[in-house]
Amino acid sequence: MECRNIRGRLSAYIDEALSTQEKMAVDEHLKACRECAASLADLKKTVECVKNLESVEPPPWLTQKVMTRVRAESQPRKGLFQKLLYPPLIKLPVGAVATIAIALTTIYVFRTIGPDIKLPKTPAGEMAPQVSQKEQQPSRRDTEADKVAPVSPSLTSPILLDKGRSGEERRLDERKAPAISPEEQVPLKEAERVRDRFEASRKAPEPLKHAELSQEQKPPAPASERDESMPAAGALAKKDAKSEAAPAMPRVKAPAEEKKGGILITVYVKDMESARRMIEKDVMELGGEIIKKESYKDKDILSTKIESKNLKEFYERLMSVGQVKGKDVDFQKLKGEVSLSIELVRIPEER
Amino acid sequence: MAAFEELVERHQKRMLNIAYRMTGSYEDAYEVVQDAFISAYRSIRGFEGKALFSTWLYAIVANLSRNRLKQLTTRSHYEGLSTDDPVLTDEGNLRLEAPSNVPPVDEQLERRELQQKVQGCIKALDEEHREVIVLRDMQGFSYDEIGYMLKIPGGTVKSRLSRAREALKNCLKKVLGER
Repeated sequence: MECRNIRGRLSAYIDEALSTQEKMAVDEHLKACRECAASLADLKKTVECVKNLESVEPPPWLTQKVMTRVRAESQPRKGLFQKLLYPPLIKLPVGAVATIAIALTTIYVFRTIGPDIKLPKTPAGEMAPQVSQKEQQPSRRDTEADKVAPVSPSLTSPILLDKGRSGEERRLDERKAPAISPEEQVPLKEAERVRDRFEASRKAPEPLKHAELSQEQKPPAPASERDESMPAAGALAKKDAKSEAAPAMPRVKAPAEEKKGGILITVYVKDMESARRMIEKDVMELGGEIIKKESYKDKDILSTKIESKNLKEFYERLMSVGQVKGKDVDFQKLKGEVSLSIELVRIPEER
Repeated sequence: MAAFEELVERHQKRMLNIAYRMTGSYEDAYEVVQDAFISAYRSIRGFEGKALFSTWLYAIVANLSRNRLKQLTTRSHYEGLSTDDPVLTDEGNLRLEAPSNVPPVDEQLERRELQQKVQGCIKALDEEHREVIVLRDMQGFSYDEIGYMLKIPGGTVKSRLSRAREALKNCLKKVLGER
């Protein structure tokens, strides 16, 4: 083995880290090679010098310092939240602070979004706003009515001072409001209840109540024929808050006949069927009641009851159905529930 | 906690000497030791028992010493610091000296001089060579243990140690002269 290879193995030879075969080869070489033997000797001295280096002593506080850090490590770490809030920078009694906060919040909420407490009103008080609503209506209607030319020169009612829009237009607008279909059948018991209430109101005036059917002044609505066989179509279903008696209602006159037991209004139409349906619907919408229907060859008669305060509007609606004819009747004189007979007459076709 | 304190007492000296011989600075050495113990405490659950606990502990200090040495080498390279331990620290305080046994004055001086020269030559070695010299010749770890600590194969330990000793020998010849 060459010296170079031997010298490369001398370090391991010193540490007895060579295989048996390698060790034997090195031993044999060292016996014969003085230079390699000298190298081995130098190497051993070097290792000896390093081994003889004095070890240093640790400082006396090293254990204590290490253990202090170790104990700090073993403490549970505070989360960011805890670090920020604990210990609190300002120590306050938590309970007192919470109570104050709740009280302030309650006051603030009550003031800004406090419950809208509605106190019960006296009858006088109730009437006033309703009256004002009623007053508003005519003006609103007047505004709408101001838009167009009159429907027919023969109709002289102040209601029509409306240079009314065409009946169709008005009708279409009015039909936008939710309405009860004339086909709705109210059970007989409901009709009887209405009748009973009407009878009671005739006897004594009642204070106006919100959502109640009728009102209260002197009775007069003449009792028209009550045919129990005829269904009262949905009279109770729709109660219009607007349909309260209004003393301040403007004076109106309409062509109609004051008939014994009611008022007769004649309406000339081309299509009897559709006109009848429209009128029935209008009666229901205005809180009225259809008492009886009679059909003849060229005419139909609808016996109805309508609140006097709705007569004006009902009359206007009739005018959109067809030509209304008759003597002037002062609706203002009428009070309470009015019996109205509407005579539908077919206009003969021109040949 | 008491058990860990006992471990600290038992192993701190050897760890300190490893760190001191590898970094060449006593101050850095005891900081490395503290860090090594903390690191051991944190990762003690990760000790799998593949080696002796002491071996595992010294591996930590060897690794931290290596890192610290790299920092020192980089710092000295950029800042032009002397590799010799200055007497005063940066704050102007007297630098701590490693306490040692106190022999007679003349022997003490001669011995001290020799040790300084040897220490100087060790510090002059490459990092890889220094590591194996310290662990093998100073601390007496086996090739396998050194391989475990430095995460290198046994054959590498052998060859690296051979080169390290050769380099150290050449340095000492120059410093000490032929003896």
